[in-house]
Amino acid sequence: MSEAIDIPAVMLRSTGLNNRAWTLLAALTGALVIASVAMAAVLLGGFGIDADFTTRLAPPSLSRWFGTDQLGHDMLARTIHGLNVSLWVGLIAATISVLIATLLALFATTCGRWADALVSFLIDAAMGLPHLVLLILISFALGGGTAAVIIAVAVTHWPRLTRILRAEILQLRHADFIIVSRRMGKSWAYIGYHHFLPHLWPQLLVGLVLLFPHAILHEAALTFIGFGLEPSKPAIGVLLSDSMRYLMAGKWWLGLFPGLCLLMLVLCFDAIGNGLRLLADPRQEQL
Amino acid sequence: MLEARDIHFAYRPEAPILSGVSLALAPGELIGLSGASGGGKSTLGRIMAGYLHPGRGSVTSGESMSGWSPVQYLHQSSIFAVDPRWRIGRIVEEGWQPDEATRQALGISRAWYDRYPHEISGGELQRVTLLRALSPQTRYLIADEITAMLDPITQADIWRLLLARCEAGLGILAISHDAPLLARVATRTVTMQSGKLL
Repeated sequence: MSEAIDIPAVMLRSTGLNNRAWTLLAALTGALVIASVAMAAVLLGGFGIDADFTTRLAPPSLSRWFGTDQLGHDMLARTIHGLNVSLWVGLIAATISVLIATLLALFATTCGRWADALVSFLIDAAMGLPHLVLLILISFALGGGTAAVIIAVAVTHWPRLTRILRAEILQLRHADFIIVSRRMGKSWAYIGYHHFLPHLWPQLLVGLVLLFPHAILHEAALTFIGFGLEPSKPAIGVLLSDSMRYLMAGKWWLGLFPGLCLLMLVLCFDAIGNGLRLLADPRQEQL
Repeated sequence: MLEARDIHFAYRPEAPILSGVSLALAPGELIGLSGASGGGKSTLGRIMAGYLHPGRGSVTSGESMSGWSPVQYLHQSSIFAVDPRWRIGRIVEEGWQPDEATRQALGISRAWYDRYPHEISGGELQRVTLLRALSPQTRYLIADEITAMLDPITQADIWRLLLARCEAGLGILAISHDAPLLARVATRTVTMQSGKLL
């Protein structure tokens, strides 16, 4: 009596796209959305910033998709302006954070044991404190405003990336292929450029992109509770805190759409970060 | 002469790996180093190649230490000895431009040059690291289990090439569990047991 054992073949997704293609498609879509937000803000100019008292608190309609606020601003235009402000604050703050992380990681791994101990202590100290409290303290101490928010976000977001970079550099330094390179007579400068950098730049780039959503959300949070950007700026945090006063009166569109758009922007950056991580690592090519 | 004198080594002070090992490798000599696992064979090889620094004792190769090192080491797991983000072609040519004859003798195909280390097999990668190490400037080769993962025919090809290089003056320290193999290729064989040479 013999019976053939039937092992079912793994069903492939019928779309013909694998995980990799999906991730890259998502990343590309995210990049397009972000680019169009930045472009739309430029094209809109003063629209959405200047008040128009003839159409106050109009609910969403075909001509005004996101409705209008108490001063007659078009909420779609205002949201786009807000997202644009968030993008710039996020870009500057995240870039400064990555720079701080890189310098600290290099300092920790090249300047001896005491430097490593000092940086590790700083990382632990910064990660031990509640993020938002530190943000509020710094922003408040600096007197609020755009510059204060950027500095507050920048100096609180380096620990995680510093820790990753430090571990990566330490691991590389003791890797056999680095010693092989040394034994073939290569200088540390050559090894730094040809062996260390290709391993570190994906971490830096992904780190930068994934810092963005953090920076943007914290900027919005700071502004929402009044320690952030000036109330006159069309920032998402300002829009959300303004909407609080009208939510109870049933003007739901003032909070819902800006909030959803902020979420969408953050998800776009997340998609780009994942796509970059995939692209940067040759070992992930088949996934 | 590549000479290790009275080498002591321990990762942790209470567990010495090597205690007072001396070994001299002459040009044109092929020493087989065998012994049980964990006996310190690879550690001795790495110390003689300059990958590890001995706690006590010294290693001299009688040549200057700048530029291409006269002592080259072949890792038993070659995947650790290559940059995972480099393609094979770049790995092979990092230190010198290997000649066609050696490449073909090792059975290394040009088709691998576009691939990454994880895209070729362990045995293929082993041959790639061997080719990379066989520069004319290499005087001594520490070969740690380099043919353990190869098929018998490729193994024979590689040992034929290494024996020819040995006759031309290359000193080889072959580390292996394979006592019959060492008996066949080595000029002399030494056995290591719990951190000492017998």
